Amino acid sequence: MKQIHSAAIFLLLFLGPFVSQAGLMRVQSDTYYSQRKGDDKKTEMPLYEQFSVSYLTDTRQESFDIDFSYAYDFEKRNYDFDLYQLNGQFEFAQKKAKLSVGRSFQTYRLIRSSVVDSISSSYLFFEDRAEAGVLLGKARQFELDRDEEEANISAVFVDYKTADVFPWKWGARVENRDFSAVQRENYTWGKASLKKEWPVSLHPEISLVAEKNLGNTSSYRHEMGVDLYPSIYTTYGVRLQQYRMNADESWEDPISSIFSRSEIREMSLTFGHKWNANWYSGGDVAVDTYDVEPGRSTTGGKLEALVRWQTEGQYVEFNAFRFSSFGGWALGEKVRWVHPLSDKMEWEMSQEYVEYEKITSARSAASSTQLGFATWLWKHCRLWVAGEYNRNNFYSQDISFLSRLTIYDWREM
Amino acid sequence: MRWILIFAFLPMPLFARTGLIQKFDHQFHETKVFSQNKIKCSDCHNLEESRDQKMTPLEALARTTFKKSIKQICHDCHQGEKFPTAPKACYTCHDTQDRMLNIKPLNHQNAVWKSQHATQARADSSQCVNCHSVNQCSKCHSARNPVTNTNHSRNYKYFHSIEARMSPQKCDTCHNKSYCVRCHLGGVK
Repeated sequence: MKQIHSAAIFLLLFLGPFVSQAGLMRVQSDTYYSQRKGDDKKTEMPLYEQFSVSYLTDTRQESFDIDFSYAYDFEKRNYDFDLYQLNGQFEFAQKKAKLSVGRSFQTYRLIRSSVVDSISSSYLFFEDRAEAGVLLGKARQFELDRDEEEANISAVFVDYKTADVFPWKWGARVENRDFSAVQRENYTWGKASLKKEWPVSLHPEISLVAEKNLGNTSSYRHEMGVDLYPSIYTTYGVRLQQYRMNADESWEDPISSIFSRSEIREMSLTFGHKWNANWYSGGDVAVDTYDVEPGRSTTGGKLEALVRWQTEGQYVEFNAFRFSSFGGWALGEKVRWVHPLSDKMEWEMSQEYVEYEKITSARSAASSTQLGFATWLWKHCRLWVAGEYNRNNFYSQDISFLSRLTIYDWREM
Repeated sequence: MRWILIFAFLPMPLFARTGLIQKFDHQFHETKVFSQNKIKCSDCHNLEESRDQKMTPLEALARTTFKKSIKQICHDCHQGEKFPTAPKACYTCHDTQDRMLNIKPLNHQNAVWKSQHATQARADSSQCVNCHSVNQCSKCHSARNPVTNTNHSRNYKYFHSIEARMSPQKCDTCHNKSYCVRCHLGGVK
């Protein structure tokens, strides 16, 4: 009992600065249970839970995040707990400086986003249009059944946007990662980025990113994205990427280094159009090319199409795809149908069927069917429960149960 | 004049289907906001107001009651520094999941947005946190595990090798070699 009191007092003290301000709180719990044959062909009965809470004040300068998961296998008696986030961000000089402390998933302060135990401080200039800061910490990598892996990390970051209604947004990062804990070297990466949209015909929106290892190795990533909006109902997108990652660049070798002996180049085109309030259709074509061995290149491609129909409460989505590479081909479809049973309740059916042929196996098919119910327990709380049946004509069958509880609420002062 | 105004505002219930107009409390704004801040009817509606506060309908009133899009009218006061005391939080108006989905950007609607958001997020992730919490990133990017198949479709494990050979750089986003070794060579550690 004493421990519960202590925990409650700790939480009140820790959360006090946040919940005393107007803001938005989101709580989400995802629970999953399955009975199935594992990849080792033995029966497994995993229970998995991921729980997250976030609180963001209206000023967007203060935030608090918790995110953790636990897993237990009733058959294999395995247990795993991972804490992904326990982090607070405070504004210690109003509209001038912020401090972030704790474990968090760092996306916009780092070049390569990861979970980091860190302390970082940033300073705001030019009426909040510029932000510059430093980060010191320990990056971690989690996987079930594995020890946590660590790397010392230090970074500086700068962001600037012009004072226009459609501003130019510039960003720069320099980041050092020390992998000596896993007997690997340390690396310093640099990144420059630009984002801009223009309020003219086609309303172009452009994103440019250049990342490079500043040391001797030849690892880099260049990306360009352009979205065009001929009308408020139509969008076209182009993505171009050049990517090369050396084998010893991280805690472990990257997967791309297994297959690729050169730069990987990718180009994709997307299209989407909202025909009216009910109908939407879209598609995507992507092509990748790289050398599997010096002087011998390979090309793979993907084609995907989507049609969606929705009215008040009703929702039907059909998605067909085909992709191929020197590893084989896959052709499949996914259907999702949401139907309201009442104002507060709806049922949902998802079905997926894929035929595939790989260089390692003959032609096979796999199917998955999911049936679920969702209900609003109260205005800001939604519960979703589903059962799932998966079947593959070559490997295995399994059955799973999933539930998701979402709560969000806000406080206005 | 009164009848013109009544007929002009009669279509209001039709807009209620959008949800956001329904949320707007005109009475509250009239008593607590408009007069104190000298906001006139003609600032939003298709009317012209003379110095003696006499209102004349504009020609456009026959088509729509508003001078600008509803979005722009709300955001004129509820964004930026023009009215510092006006609540700026998105959920002041977009306070239910449905009302948030109404403002989902068009490029997010395509089936491939999940695999394409990276370029924009890398170029300007501050834009993502207008609607998303970092927990939503963490959910897919940190919690990589073979139990739930959070990111891939249910059958993906059967044919992942085809896509891994097509665009192996996509695997690098979340996984390392040991994730392959776990199954293909009987596991590590």
